[in-house]
Amino acid sequence: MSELTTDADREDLRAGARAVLSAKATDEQNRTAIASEAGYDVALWAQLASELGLHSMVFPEEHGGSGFGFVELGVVLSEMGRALLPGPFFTSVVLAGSALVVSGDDEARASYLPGIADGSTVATLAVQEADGAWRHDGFDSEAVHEGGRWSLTGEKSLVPFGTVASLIVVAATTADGPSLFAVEAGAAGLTSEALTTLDITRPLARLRFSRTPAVLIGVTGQAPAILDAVLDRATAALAAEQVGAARACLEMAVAYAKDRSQFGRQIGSFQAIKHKCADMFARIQIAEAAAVEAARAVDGLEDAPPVGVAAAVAHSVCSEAFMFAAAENIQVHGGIGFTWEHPAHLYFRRAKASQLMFGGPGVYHERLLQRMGV
Amino acid sequence: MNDIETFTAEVRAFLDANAQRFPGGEAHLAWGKGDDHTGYFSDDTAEVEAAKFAAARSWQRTRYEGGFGWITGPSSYGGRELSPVHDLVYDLLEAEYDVPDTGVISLIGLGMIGPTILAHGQQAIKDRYLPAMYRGDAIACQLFSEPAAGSDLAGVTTKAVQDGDVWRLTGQKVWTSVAHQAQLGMALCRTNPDVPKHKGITAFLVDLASPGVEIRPLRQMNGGAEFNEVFLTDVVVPDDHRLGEIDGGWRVALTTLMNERASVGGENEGALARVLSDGFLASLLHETGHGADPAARRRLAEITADLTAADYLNRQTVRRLVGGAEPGPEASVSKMMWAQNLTRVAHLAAELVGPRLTADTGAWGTYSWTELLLGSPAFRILGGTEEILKNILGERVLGLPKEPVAP
Amino acid sequence: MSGLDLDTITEVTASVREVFAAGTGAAVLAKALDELGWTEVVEADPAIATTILFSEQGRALASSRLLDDVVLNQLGSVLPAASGSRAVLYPRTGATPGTVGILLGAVEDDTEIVSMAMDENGNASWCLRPASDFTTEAITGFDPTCGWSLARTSTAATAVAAAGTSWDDARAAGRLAITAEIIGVCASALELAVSHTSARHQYGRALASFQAVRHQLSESHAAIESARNTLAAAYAASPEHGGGAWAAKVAKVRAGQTQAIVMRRGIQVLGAMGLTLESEMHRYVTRAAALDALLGGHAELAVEIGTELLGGAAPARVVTI
Repeated sequence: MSELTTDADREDLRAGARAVLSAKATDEQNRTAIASEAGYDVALWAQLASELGLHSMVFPEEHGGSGFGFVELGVVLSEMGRALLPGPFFTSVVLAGSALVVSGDDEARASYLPGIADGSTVATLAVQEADGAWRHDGFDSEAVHEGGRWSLTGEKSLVPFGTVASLIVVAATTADGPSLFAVEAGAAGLTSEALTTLDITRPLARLRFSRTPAVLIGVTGQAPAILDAVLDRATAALAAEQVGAARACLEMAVAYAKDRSQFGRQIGSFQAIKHKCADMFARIQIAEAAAVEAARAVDGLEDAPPVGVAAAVAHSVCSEAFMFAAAENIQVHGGIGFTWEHPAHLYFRRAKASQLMFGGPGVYHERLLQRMGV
Repeated sequence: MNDIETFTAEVRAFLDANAQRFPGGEAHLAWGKGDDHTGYFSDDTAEVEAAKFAAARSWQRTRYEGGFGWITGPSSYGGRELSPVHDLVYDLLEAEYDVPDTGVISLIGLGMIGPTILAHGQQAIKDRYLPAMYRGDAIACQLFSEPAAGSDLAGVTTKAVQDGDVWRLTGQKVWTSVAHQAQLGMALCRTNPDVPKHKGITAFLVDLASPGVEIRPLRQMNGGAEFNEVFLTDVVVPDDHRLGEIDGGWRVALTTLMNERASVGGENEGALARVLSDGFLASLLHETGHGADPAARRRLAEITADLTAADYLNRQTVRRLVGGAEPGPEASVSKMMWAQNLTRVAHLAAELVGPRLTADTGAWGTYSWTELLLGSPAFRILGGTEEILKNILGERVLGLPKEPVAP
Repeated sequence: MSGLDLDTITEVTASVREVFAAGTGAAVLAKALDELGWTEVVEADPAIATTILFSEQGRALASSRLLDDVVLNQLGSVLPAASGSRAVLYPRTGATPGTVGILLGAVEDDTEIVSMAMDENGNASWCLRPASDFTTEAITGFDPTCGWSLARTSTAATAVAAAGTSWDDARAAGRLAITAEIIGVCASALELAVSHTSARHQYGRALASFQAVRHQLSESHAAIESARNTLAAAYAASPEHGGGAWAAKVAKVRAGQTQAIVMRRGIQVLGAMGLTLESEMHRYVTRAAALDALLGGHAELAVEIGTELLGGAAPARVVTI
């Protein structure tokens, strides 16, 4: 398969997304959105879905999608990361959406994807439990099949946008192995509780299920294989978001280094500052290359590396580049970068939370070695 | 079939006819196969070095006769008048074949000085030297750096004084790779001490066989001596060997430096290709008994992720260049990351090998890592120190203000 | 508290520096130290005496078998009285102790070689063998000027004494002395880097005026001072000179890490000059690396410390805040 779009197409896409986000997702607007009931700007969410069609990009055309790839989605995610847009786009489209897409369950896809694609459904994926580990089997949550219906009991933790999602894709153990289920918000026996979060732009919740009615996605025992594929897509997509956010940190640092004077000169003329910015730049360039290559691998482009390796490389390199850029940005800003009012800490929070989302360095390093056969 | 595909087929036919293709991808680079060199710099004996130069020249001649000696050069000098991308395509294909490493003659002489002579040399000089260089007959080196002018190249003090229709050159140059095997040197000299320093420099092409040229080897900390000090004492250079205008040498030098090859693909030749090949470090991990050591595994994973991402960046650069894009700041980023990653590889390998690194016990793939380790400090210095690369990225790419002029 | 006042320490340090600057050779060194009244210095404050002596040996890149004295001093009550001169065979990681090891300098044929051997039950004991039982081969690989040699023997030796805790004591004393020597090598390398970057001008100013350079130098300085303080604290941590195996291990790890920092930065700030054999820098680099490897490299010891901590060892604090 070859690329669906040209560099120029993607630059247009980037410019379009940037234009909207720089008008509607400024630091001030983001903070207002975070403080709102939903935790994100619901009107902007609808605009991104309907006017720009961003939510439907990577879904198959028969389910309301426009059939683009992760290469194109990456451009959008990178802009969202740059603006640090609060909202369930990654959660709904990438996490839950990918689980449905790769499940191979046409009925589930037909039921749920059109809603995710037009933004009317906010979906989430509930995998982690009390210990916070991202795993693909061995869930304590259990689903049983009685009288022709499935019901689910257990507790899920760290579920992104868990209190606002209208559709929850849940991983649970069954007699036939780990499986995925769809649960609708408001279902019997489902309670949710918002958690205080490190990253205030991406709320997390604890969900409790007690004999909650659920719909099986795909066939039983399939969850590990589906989640493996979801993890590749999710880490590839997250990498794009991380690169965009890291670049925002660099831009902030460079702008400040040009603006601020100390000892009678712009601080950017001091090598200690200049070289920090150069280091950030170099690591972001490498990270961007890794993110793009991972997206190309997800899309199955002919000269792309194996998706398992490329996604693991991207997750490692982009997580670290973003964390590095977020921390160095604060250092370049000095005291001002440590204040609540300054956006630097929001990026720092997002950087650490993203790095740990799927287990963190100890886990992703080992995953990379395993994927390379070491 | 587009132009690149046609060219690829042509190169493939030439290589198949003149060289052996390595069987099975990178199998020849696997752990325990062949020699266990890890070094970027050589510490060859004089005989071995002479044989390598002879092999490099002979392969360059084969290339020249096959029409690939100067892919980007003018046809009047045996070139093909194709783009740098064609050059890159050729290199990538050639890496699949067991051919002599021509880096010693091509990186500086053919890659940088040849194009400079073409751009700034006088007609007779071009006719006389360019075909000889690209045929592999003449090797050219740079006479740029001096003891007091390293990073700050515009500070050269080697003097050139006009004397009728010749110039007389006196001074000392350092860090000239391959000077002891070269026939020609491109020298930057001070011709006007009374103007701002980069406005008083003139470039010359020096016949290294001239009286007054003395070349001494400079031993590096890894034990090798690929670099030289070149002493010029009243060396006579005809005015037609001047490159560019009088006092216009800085522009000429920039042409040379701009031709410093984008660090894509070409750097990891020879021993480094093995060190950085898929699975080689993993083999080292297992062979040294660290296969289940979590700390070692984690370090290997970190380095592997960064090496792989750097490789992705190179691939994307190639794709972009092939697609007709202008070269960006990738070269500086690649160089910096290459140096940092190789340094980390050297130290990881040293730790995995452990005490067997400190004395040669004869075990394959152990003591040989000292080559990479002892060469590693140079990676962050030669070809632009890391500090200078960061200045370039900070100032030219990010637009940060320059260091104020010293009071 | 030290039994020596600051003035005396300064004076003694200067004298020892002159001794190493003047020349080499065991006999010359012994005589010069004797003239200095070294015995009294050692009596007054053995820790400071050892630190001065080894720091200065490191600073001068000198080599000697002084370390043997430090190690043997711990074994006075364990080994039978010596009839002549003795030398220590230092273990080489990975090699069978006792039959292969490192000698730090030339020995006479009748010198007794003291080595540690381990029986199949893991019991350590001391062995004595004449030097003539060994074949030696100069170690030239990494640091050709260290004067060390690799000694091997196939002669079986009878244990003369069970090692007991004396091996720990001897090794700890040796590690503290090596730590001092590494610090000396580092301090001297940093001085070279400072003087080079202060004297060399590029872009019209001293290299040391560029932050990229001066910050590397200050990081080296901070690392050296930290190693120095850890060493002093390690000596203070135990009532007896050379005691405290844990503290000695921590100090040597810190010194090993320090040399890695100082040497890497030292070479970088010297630029291309640091890569040539004409600059002295490579000698510091190789000597520091060789010393780091002696009696356990820093990476290896850090793993040991970690394993002991995980195994439930109570971490004896080297520094109490």
